[in-house]
Amino acid sequence: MGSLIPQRPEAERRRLRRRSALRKYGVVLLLLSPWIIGFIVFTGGPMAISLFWSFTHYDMASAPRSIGLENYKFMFGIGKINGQHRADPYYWQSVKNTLFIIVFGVPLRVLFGMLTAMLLTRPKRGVNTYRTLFFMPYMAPKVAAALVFVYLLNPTTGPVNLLLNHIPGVTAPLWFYDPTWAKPALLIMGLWGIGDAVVIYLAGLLSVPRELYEAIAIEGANAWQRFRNVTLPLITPVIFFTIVMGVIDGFQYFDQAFVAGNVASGQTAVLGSPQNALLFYSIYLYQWAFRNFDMGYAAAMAWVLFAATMVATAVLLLTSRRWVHYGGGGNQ
Amino acid sequence: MRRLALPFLILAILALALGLATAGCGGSSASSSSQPSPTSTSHTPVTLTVWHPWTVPSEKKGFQNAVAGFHTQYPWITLKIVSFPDSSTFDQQVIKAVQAGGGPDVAITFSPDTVGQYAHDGLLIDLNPYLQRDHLSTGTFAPASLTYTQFEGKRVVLPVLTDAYGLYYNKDMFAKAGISGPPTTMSELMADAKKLTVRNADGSIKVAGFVPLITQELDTPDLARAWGGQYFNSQGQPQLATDPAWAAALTWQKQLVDWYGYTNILKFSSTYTPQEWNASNSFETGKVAMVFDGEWRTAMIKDDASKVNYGTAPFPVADTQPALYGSGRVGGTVTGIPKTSKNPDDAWLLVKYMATDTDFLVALANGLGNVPTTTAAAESPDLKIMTPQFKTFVAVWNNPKSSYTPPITASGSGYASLLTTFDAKWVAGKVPNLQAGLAQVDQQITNQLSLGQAP
Amino acid sequence: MIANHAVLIGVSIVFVLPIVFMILTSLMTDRQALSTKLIPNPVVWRNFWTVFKEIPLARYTWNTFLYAGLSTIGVIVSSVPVAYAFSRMRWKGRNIVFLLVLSTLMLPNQVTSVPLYVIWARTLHDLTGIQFIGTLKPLIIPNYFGDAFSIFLLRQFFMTIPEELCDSIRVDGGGHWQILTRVVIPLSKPAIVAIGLFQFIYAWNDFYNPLVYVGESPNAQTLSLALSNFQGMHHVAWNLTMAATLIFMIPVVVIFFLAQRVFIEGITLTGVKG
Repeated sequence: MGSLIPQRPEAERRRLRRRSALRKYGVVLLLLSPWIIGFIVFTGGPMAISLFWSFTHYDMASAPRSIGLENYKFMFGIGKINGQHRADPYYWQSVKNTLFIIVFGVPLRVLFGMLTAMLLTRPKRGVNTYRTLFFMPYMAPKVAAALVFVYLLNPTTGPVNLLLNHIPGVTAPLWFYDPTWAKPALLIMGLWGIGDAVVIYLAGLLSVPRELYEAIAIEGANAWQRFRNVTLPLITPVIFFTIVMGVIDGFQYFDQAFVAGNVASGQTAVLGSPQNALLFYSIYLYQWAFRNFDMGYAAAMAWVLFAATMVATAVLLLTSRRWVHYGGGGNQ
Repeated sequence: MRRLALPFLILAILALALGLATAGCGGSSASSSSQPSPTSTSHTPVTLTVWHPWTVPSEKKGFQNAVAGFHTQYPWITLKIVSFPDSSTFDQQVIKAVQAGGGPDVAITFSPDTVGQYAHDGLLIDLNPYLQRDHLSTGTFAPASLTYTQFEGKRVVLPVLTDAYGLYYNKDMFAKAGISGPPTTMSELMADAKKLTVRNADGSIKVAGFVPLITQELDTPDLARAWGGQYFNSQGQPQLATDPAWAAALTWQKQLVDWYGYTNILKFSSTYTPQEWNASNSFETGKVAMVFDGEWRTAMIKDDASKVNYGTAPFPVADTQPALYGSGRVGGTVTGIPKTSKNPDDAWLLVKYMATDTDFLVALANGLGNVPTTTAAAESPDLKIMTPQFKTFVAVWNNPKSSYTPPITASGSGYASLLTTFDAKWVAGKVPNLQAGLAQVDQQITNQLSLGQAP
Repeated sequence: MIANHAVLIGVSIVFVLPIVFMILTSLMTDRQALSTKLIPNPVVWRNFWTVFKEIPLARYTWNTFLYAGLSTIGVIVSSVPVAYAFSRMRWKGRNIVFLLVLSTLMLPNQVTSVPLYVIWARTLHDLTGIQFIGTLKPLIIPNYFGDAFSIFLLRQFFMTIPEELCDSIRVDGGGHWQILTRVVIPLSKPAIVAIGLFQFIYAWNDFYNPLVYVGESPNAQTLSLALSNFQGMHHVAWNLTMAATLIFMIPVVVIFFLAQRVFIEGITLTGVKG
């Protein structure tokens, strides 16, 4: 006990430190190796390959043939053929469809999620039961949700239209059989799955310190002022989170639209029925890759999608400083 | 800083290496000579690998039983039969294997859509020299087969059974409405459709005479065929706008849709649309009086024990085109020899057997319910599926004006959905100018087919 | 307060209604399912039996279970060491590489699935001679190489483990392996269970990946694929479709009820701290 460790010379200490550092990096590498291999083979590698392919024509029948920017030109409608404008006929439609679902779907999700969560802050008992009920549909498989809603929204036999037809003056829309109403039908389906947003918002609402409410109540603030000056600023972080996740998911929107379009139109040959109303970007990409087997063009579409996702996320992040309040407390 | 960059550099290099390995892989072997050797008399034992796309166990067995007779006829050839778990990627498996220098000796595929690609890229050998050597005139197969077995002058596959499409009509409903026989012209079809339609008290449709929407099996080229419409001109360019048949067909279609009321007919079809493949099929349950469908429906009606009293007939033709009556859409399973096969002469024997041997075709047709592709097979007494209703489809197959649509191209059939989508817009009343709209579709098709061609 | 409760009850009813209709339809005859009648009459309990008889539902359930189960094991086994390296060890560049891991969460599925399909169909098939496309293998195997979401959750959790517990192992001469197995993993059981459950449900519900890699291969179909194909490939009617959909959802519901807290806390953790 208490024996002195003899001091080593500086050089030797440095050498020992370097060896232990190397050993530590060796351990780190070993621990990270599953992820590293996975990244190369399943993420980074495919990304690099897909970038490479986007500049080629590749249909799996022969080796990729370099065509420069032709895929991108076709996508964005640059260039001519036979004296006519040369463009992908449905590309912008698929972009518009995807933007629709993001621009309308995300705010709806935030609005209804927040309203529902606010309802849940009041009661003392039974909150957990309600919360479970609201959260459950979120866990339902998207294929199941799509099938159920195609059935529920059937124009002739579905319960929704049976109800709507009883209201005088209301013409029940044809939902998944009408291009104008197909996407709104998906929005309705999306509202069924806001459970996760409700849960997150509830946690955010409950984490607002009670003292702040008491303080502002003393000053005689009404409910709206309470909400605007205390609640709202403090829940902006969770709102921001759900917006970012909603936008990222929106860019990749696939399952529900794919299944609903096929089941309602009774065929899988033409995707995006009715009349391309449900031809979302990812579905259109899928069509190019796995129906037309044009891997080069699909890869180009995928990279544009990736770029758009990054840009959107960056914009959201940068503008978030204006309205998202981090850290506890701090009201006006 | 260097420490940080190094892991990324390594990752990037490895990723790139993987990319090159994937992208560049598959060098093609030297193409074997396509000249058939004269019929050989010496028979060294040989094993032929056969790839087929059947996945349903009963169909797999059906094929194996039917092809057992081959070994008896050619005892020095043993067959190694390989099935695949996924029929939708079957052609890709073949393409990939052949590109890598391997692949089977004989490939059978469901989809004529890829035949254009097989021919254009030279992945399957041209069978014409063999056909000539063995004196198999093109008369052995119905002329319609040429529309999907030949491309750019090369006959790379032969048909092995086929589908054929025509009109199914409900005899009881016809009798009740006082119509003596099935319609043979498009105006008769429209008149009968209107007569046979029954409406509910509120105006919605209870029974439809004929649903003119592109749903279930009906496709726009099937309507245009009634007027003799051709998708592409002799230069290979789409001519939907310049060939008057298309405008005529679409006008006919919209007339009938408007008579029903677009919303009405759409709502009506929504009550049964996803149920095409089971006993709730719209025709079998008496929801529609007439339907455009394939020959397999006869077997399904029997299996579903449906009580519908039905007849079949070729699909009607335009009043101005009586000579076209009896034709229709055809096309189905085909077989060919990859260029990498080391035994093309023996492989040809199997291809020839599957395409022409009566016993084989009869056995396979009995098992699968498709139309036999040779006259001998169709007239064989052992054929169990030849009901009066089925005969219609055999006749459609043999009609020289029948064809496979959409026409095969060097890049597959993806372009066909452009017309389908336009049709849906058209019947919904969203196209103000039909000619202009069709010209636009032509342009879209040209664009789509041009993607990937050298600029 | 009563108004609040009334609204809550109303909203709850709306949320539950789709399930109610599913149950009602699953008990109808085929003809009735296509009509406007809402209450099944007669009540066909047999549908739940018929649906297993008509299509290989048992096989598809087993496939889905295989995919979900094996991928869950893979995610746990591979993500724990990675998360450990990001939380319990200090090394230069740790934060940057962690950011890289996180950034893969933003990667659209489609950027990688197109080349991955070809890699499975060709490159790996050529290298090993094994047929991957049309089987469950491409679905399961990548999960043995770490999952970004699980790594993130585990790391957050690992970071809350007090350093003193690890020190006591080090003093006894133990290395990282001992720390991992004797301290970190035992203490992290809730988090490990959470990521396991998330992965299981994600794989059980997954549609896109089976669609791309399994396609229409009949033997490897998962429930989500089979259901989407019900009318096309399996020739099934609406009443049986609803019955099968309910069967599809049952494991999710059961797991959820048993482990509610885990899910809700997990979602909350990502949302509030994300």
